[in-house]
Amino acid sequence: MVIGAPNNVGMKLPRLSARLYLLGLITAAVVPVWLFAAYLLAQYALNERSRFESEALQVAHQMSLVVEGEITNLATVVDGLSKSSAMSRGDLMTLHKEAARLVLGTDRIIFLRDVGRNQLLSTQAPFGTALPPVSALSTSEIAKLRSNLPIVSGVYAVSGIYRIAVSIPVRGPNGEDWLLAISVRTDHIRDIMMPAVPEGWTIGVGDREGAYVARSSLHEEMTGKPGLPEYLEKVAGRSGTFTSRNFQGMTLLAGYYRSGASNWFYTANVPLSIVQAPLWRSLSAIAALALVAMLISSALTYVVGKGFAKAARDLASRANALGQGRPVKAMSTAISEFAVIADALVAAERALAEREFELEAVLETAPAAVWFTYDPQARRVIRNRFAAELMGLPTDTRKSFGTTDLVIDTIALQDGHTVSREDRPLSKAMRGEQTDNQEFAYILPNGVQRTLLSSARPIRGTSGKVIGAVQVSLDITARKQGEEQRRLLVNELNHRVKNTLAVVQSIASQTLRNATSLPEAGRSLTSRLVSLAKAHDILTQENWSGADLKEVVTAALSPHANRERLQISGDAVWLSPALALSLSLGFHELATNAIKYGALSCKEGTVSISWAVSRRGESKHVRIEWRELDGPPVVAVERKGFGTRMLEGLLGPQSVGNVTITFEPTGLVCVFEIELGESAGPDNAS
Amino acid sequence: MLVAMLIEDMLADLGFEVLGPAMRLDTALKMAREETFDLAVLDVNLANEQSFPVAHLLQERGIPFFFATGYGLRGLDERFKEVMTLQKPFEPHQLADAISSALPRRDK
Repeated sequence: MVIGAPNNVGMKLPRLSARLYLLGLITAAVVPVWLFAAYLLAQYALNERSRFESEALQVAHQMSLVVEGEITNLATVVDGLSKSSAMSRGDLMTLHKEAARLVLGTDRIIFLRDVGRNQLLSTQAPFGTALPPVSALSTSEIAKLRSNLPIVSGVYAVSGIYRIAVSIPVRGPNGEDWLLAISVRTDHIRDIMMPAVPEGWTIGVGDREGAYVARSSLHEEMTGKPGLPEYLEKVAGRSGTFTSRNFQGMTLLAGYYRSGASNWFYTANVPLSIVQAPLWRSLSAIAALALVAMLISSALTYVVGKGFAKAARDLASRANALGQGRPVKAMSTAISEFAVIADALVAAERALAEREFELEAVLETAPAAVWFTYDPQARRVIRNRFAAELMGLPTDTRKSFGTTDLVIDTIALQDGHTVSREDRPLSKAMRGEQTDNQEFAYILPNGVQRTLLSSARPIRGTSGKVIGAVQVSLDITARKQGEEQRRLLVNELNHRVKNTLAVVQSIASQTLRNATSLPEAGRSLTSRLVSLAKAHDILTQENWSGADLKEVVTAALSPHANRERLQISGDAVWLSPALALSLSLGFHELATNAIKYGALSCKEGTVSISWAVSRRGESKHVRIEWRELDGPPVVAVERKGFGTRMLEGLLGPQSVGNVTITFEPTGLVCVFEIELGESAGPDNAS
Repeated sequence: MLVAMLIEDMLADLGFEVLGPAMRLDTALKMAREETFDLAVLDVNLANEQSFPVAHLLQERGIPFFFATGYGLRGLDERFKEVMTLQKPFEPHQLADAISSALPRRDK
């Protein structure tokens, strides 16, 4: 059987493996989750950044409060000094002493200057020493001076050490505009600031010119140095945030605050990497998670897909087995839908097998030979048991049906003409021709001849195309032989009847020829015909193969005499049918004669019939003696009656032997010397 | 044998002198070879043997003959298809006709 190609019904769908579909399904389920996670992350990152930005602003502001507080402290110191009597008196020497006392033990410097560049006194030098000029005041400082506000200086260096100064305006004794100032090292500002610096943050303090006053890290290197121009550009307005690169090439998130009092600015920097670290951590975690999820789902897809593919392959192999009539094994699968299909296939196979068993039972039982073929040449065939028997092949019951075998070389005859293989019923059926009850004689390789009555039909597939053929044949050999035998029998019977009629004709002719009167002729003829009929009976009993001599004698004599008046003795001798008939008639004649004239005509007379077999060379002879005893006085008969003539004619020298009739004083003696020959056929009654 | 007697009587009645009858093949062959006669009537079966060797011998000697048999014509040998066959039983005039058509024409 062949499994047909799938029907091209409906539209063509792209064919992808189950694995790809699974992968697609998983991707469809996972990707939105990832996207959502990414969205949340982005939101989180933005929040983080703004949190950092506000923190930066807050830190910068706090720093400004801390540092500006110290500046106020410094201003308070010089403010206290400015209220001293020495100051109001203009006693600069005493002022110097008091100032010196205030800064004693520290590196602070208190000095007095005018609005020009002159120093009037400094704790750095003994009173009265000539002092170096100081830097001129800027216009904004002068403006502050006018409004009696403390003036905070920028960074400046005194003998290599960076300092800042906080000045307050004071009046000289003569109404001069002086400035009383206290100077500290920039380190001091740094030291004030450091405890308030949050971890991870870098704090920078810049003067109004943009130079570094203090820095939470690398203070020593940076103090007094101008800030990066790019950085300074972005510090605009009172406060704000920005990102920038520092001089180390690191990207920073920065918040700044500019103090109104000192006009200094405070920056709080944090490396962007720290700001973004949670984002990257989350991103990498998500990515790792996604990767792991992807790997797991891929592995699952692979395993499940492999299971699908294997189950599908197993199902396909089972469907093929079903198509080819092989047994379908049960299938173990974890997928219930496939298990349902597999179970259905097994059930289908069982149903098919049952149909096949039915067909096999029919093919085994039907007393007809059946051949199937699916071979276009009709050379490979499947036979049922009868067909195998018919062809003289072994009939292994299970093997005889269902397996293909090569045809046997036979000679086929129809109406006496040879039929080539192409013209035999099975081959013709493969070409779509049908055969009905045609008689063929087959001669098998072993010489056996069989007569078959054959019919054949093509087997058509669903498309109507011829895919095979079936031939059913009845073995009518016995019937044909019977018919032939009947014909021969009828012929034989006809022959025998004619022969018998010829014998009857002869008996009638002889009887009439020798009769003295018509009534006597009638009696003789009747008794002779009865005798002939009895001999026929004996021969028919033996199927005309011959008869036993004793039986022939007994049957021929029984109508004429009692058993006690006959003495019958001799070996068993088998007579041919012709001889049996002749002897039967012969004994009938002798008995008739004995009843008329011989031993059986009186009460005392008896007849002894005896015989013996002897061999003369190759052939057997039998000598039969008919001896009449105790009869009336013997008178030799002159005229040769039909009886005598018949005896001589039947059994005399011209036919099978010798007949001698002598009239001894005791009675008539007749001796037959008969050659038995070798054979004893049934067809010799002439 | 009985039939032979009948034919013998019929032939005698028709005025023929009868040699025989021979009931066995060897006797028949001996007669066919040695005796002088004008015509032979052959039964196909002679004591379980067929009379075709006798027919053959007669053909060689140019002595006319015909068969008398209970079998149909199919019982005959191919070589003697042309030879006349008288179906048993027959009447004396059928025998006479058979003899006159078998014997060569000659003046009486």
